[in-house]
Amino acid sequence: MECVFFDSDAQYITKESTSDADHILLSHGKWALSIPQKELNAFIAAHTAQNIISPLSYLFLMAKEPALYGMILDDYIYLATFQDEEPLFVKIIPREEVYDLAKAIEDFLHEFYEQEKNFFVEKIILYHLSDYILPDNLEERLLLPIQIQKEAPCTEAASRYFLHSSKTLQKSSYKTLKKVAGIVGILFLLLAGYDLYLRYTASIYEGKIAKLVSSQTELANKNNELQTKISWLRRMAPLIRQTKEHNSYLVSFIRDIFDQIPDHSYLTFAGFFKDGLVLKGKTQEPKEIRQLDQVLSRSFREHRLILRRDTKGYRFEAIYKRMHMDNE
Amino acid sequence: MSKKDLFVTIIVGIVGIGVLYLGVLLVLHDVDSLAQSKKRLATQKKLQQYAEQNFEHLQNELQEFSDIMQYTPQSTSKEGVLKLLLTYGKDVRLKKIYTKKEGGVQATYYFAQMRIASPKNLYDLVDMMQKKGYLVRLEWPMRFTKKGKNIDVEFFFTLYRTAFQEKPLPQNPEEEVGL
Repeated sequence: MECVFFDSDAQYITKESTSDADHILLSHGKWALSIPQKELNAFIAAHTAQNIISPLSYLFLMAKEPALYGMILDDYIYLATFQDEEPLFVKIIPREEVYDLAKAIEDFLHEFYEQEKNFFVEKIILYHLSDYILPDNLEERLLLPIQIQKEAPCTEAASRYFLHSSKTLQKSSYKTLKKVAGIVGILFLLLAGYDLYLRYTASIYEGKIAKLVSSQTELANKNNELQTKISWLRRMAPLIRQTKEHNSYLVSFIRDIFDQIPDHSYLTFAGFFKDGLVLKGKTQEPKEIRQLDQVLSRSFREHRLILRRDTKGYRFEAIYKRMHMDNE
Repeated sequence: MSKKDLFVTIIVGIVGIGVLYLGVLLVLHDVDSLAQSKKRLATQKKLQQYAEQNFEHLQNELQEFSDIMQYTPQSTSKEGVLKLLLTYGKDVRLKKIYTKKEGGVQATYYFAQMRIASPKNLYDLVDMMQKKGYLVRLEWPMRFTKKGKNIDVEFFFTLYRTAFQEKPLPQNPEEEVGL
């Protein structure tokens, strides 16, 4: 994990535990770091995708022994002493003002020792994280061992004091992504819903079409049958009607003859011809037969009646030829 | 924003746009399908209307033949006539005399003999032939001879057979049938 140090003098050690609208307050247990919101936002804007930590917070984390801790960054040099988990003396010096680092450290130590709460500095631990060229005889002039660290690894513990975390951004990015995905999802659901509605409506239409097609097929078959029957009837009607008429005439003619046979007579033979008629039978009353002959003879041009005496009455034979036509 | 975040954002964006694009394409396709279905439904409704009108027209036209509507090409057959003769008489004998064809109609001339109880049987026979649509024409002469309490009837008739279409009927030489 990499860290970017908040290289600014706009940061102050404070004992207060509450922040105001213009400052953020980062608690370190017994003490807090106050940073103006404006400066921090400007710094974050310039280093958006990285973890940002105050050099003082970092030095506090590294302070495991009574020593002077320093950090040289591009714009400022940070010097601090810590005891009982709180800073005793802290200085942030603009680098452009430091012509002689040994002199600056000496001044820091003088001021530190002048304080009421101090301790004897036996060692200097210096994080050298810029292109600043350290003087060669620093240890000799200060008469103190100096441990120089060229790197300042950002440990997991340091994340407690991050002024800004890349995870925050990551979270923010994920939040944005979630929003985008949500909007896409909602739009997709709307589209899917609309599409389902379209498909459902289309399926209803298709069902109606299928019913209509089936009904049309049925109707077309009926129409074809009707058409065939009509054309057949049209063709056959003269023959059928003529046959019906002929049969009716023939039957009514026969019925008419049989109905006229008198009560005291009966037929043994009746022959119906196209324009003739032959009747044979027996009778008890020849007069009745003669009357019948008279009636029938009106419909024919030629007729003959033969009556013969028999043991039980009379036998008769009547022949009629050349029937009169209706228009005659 | 880290490179990873940027990459994820771009991927999600591309996938999202792709999904929406496909969705829109699908919806547009289905909108088009629905419009086509509507058109087809409208066309089918019109066709249905025409078919119904045609059906109504044909029904009206058929009324012209209401007196002979029972006649169909299928309603007349020699077997049918024989069955009917047996209903009204007994000792039925049928003999084919000749067959001729004219104008798509096959006319077969038969000689028939049957025994009936009274002339009424003959009247009913002819009436039933008409009701059932049998295209049968009774021919002259017709002879009635008294045999005990029954009457032997001898007559000729023509059986007309035809098809809906004027196609020649298959040759089916008929033999004398006696029952």
